[in-house]
Amino acid sequence: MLTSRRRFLLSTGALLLGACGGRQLAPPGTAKIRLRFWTMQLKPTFDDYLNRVIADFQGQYPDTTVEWVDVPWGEMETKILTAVAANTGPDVVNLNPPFASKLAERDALLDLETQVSEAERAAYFPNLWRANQLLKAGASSPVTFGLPWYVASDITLYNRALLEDSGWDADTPPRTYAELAQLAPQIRERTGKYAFMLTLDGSQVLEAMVQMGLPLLDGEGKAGFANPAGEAAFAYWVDLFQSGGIPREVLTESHRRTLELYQSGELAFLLTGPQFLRQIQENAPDIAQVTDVAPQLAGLDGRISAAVMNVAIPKATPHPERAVQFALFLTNAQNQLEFSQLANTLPSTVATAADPYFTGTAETVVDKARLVSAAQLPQAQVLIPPVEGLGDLQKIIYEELQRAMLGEKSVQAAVRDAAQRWNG
Amino acid sequence: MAKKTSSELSRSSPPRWERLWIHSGPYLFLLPALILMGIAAFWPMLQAVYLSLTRYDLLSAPTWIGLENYLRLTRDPLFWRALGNTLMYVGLVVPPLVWLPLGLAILVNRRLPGIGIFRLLYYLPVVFSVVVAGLAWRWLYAENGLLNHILSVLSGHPLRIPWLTDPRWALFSVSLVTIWKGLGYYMVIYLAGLQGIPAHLYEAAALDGANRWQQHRWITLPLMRPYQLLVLILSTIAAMKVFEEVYLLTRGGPVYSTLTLVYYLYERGISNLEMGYASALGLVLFGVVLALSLGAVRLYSREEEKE
Repeated sequence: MLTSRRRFLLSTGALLLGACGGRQLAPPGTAKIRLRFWTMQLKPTFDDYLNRVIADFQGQYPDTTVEWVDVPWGEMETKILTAVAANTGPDVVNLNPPFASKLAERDALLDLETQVSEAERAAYFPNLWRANQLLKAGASSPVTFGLPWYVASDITLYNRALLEDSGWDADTPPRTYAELAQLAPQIRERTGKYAFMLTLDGSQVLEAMVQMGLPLLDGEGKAGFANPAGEAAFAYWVDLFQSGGIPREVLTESHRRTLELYQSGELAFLLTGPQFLRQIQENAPDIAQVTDVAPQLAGLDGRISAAVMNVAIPKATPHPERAVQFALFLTNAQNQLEFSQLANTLPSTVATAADPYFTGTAETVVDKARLVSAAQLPQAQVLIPPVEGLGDLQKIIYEELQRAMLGEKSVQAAVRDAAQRWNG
Repeated sequence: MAKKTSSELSRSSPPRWERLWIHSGPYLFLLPALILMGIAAFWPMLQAVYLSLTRYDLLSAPTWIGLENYLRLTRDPLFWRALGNTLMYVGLVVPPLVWLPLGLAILVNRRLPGIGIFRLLYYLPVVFSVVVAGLAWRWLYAENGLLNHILSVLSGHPLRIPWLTDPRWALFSVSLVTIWKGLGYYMVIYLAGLQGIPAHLYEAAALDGANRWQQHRWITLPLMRPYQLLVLILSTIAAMKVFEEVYLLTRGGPVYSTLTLVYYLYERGISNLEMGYASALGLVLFGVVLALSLGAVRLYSREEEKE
């Protein structure tokens, strides 16, 4: 009895010691560098792809193991912040420029300007590279806080049947915001539906205002919109809202609701990324059948917007060199081509965008969406560049815009108040 | 004899270790719970007090700024707006949640065939995840949603009530969801209270010639007062801490008309990384909840004394 108890204790102790000292006991030549890699909502759809990329990288660097963790979109902000604060953060992380710039403002991300060679940098579209730069107050050169990864450049999806019912030629949909505003009352009157809806939960409305000619900031970082151009951009939304041309829900709803309304045939236009077309085909085949594709709506100067995902390296990583190598590997032209095909997104590398997959001829509406979107890539840019306090600026503009939309103040007063609040 | 005396003596005054055990034993049993509470509740609270006196963005070390966060609160119009909205929300939500579930509990506290189904139906919203309920209500409240459709059919002309998109309606609409979701929960508390009232009280009252209403007025309602106090305190605390409904339905809008204290705290802390300021907000919220709860207890005991 005693012997068996002693044997049990000895074996348990050995197991515990083995578990504690596993690292020391590992045979020589096995992995020594452990990279923790976080992505934003890519599991389970891209499991096979990312596991393959990770295996390839580990094949090239046998001393490295990559541990991939996927974080839901809505939780990334909190998780990365608490992890970085507790020093348990990842070595490589997939973010977007607005949020990555928040971390870069606080000096929590590696400046890739000094880590990436000129040749490596040249592989990416320069406009998308710039979207990952932040010029801090008082600094002479910008900080590059991430490598561009996959990109979405919005296109215009539209319901041909609704356009025809409202008496508009469905082969020549509006190309500008001004034309769309002209069409909105016509659609409302003749079909009872709304033309379109951009919600105030993201940056789409502000981007549209920039496209319409609203200058966000002047050279000194002060409000650049307290002028007729700014007032015109404010007035665009106020007029549409007050005349019933767009749903009142723009005030409280999100992009998801916009998609739902388009799928239920309540909206004539959906200004979104091409990746949503597949979702429409699955959820609302009838609407997908009458859906056609047009280039992104433009403003005065024809500028096109893009949303970029990036890969950043937290400063606290113990392996900055290997982390950068992994980020470069993940975002190289070859890996991006495969990912774009799987995810129906656009690449940030010049060589990938030149592939026939993005330049061929369209046979289906999905092909057309991809080609239209890819054709916009060289001109596409992040219209709201990462600037310090960007979140506050957007909040101020949206709040004053809402007050004007609800009739609490005039457009002029809203623009003036927004500028005064930003300038402090 | 001498032996007997000594044993008697030892029985009357137990040995030292036994006395120690008698005095400290209960605390030893409480210790695991106290340690857990200390780690999960008391320590974070103390930390919040410290952080409220600092400027802290999660990523760099906290900087001591004394009472600056509290002074900033007094000058922050959004804080006053959030506090006002939260108190108004309490006013909209608490009275119905104290009285409606009591009525429901009295209704379902009868031995009727199928009454269990009614109890289940009233309790169902409690079981729903608040996220599911929030999304469902968003559809109901939509401009072309079910609620407007039903009202249009009933009134005979198209109605488009801006439930969530008009600052005058939004807080009221959000509070309806909280009431709908809380009814069943508080009804169960009242039901437990009703079933604890001895039947002989009603029998005696009936013998004295009291009718149904008089029995309710003089037996049921007075005996339910402790439960009403409990529901008053619980629903007040819950209403002061409202977050999910606001997050899911309006995100504090339109134009801050549904901005509540906890939502504002979330915005400052998580979105703006102002953890120090958010901690100060949290402590103020704690103070307000404590004051309201103590006020409710006091009000209740004063009325008890009167009776």
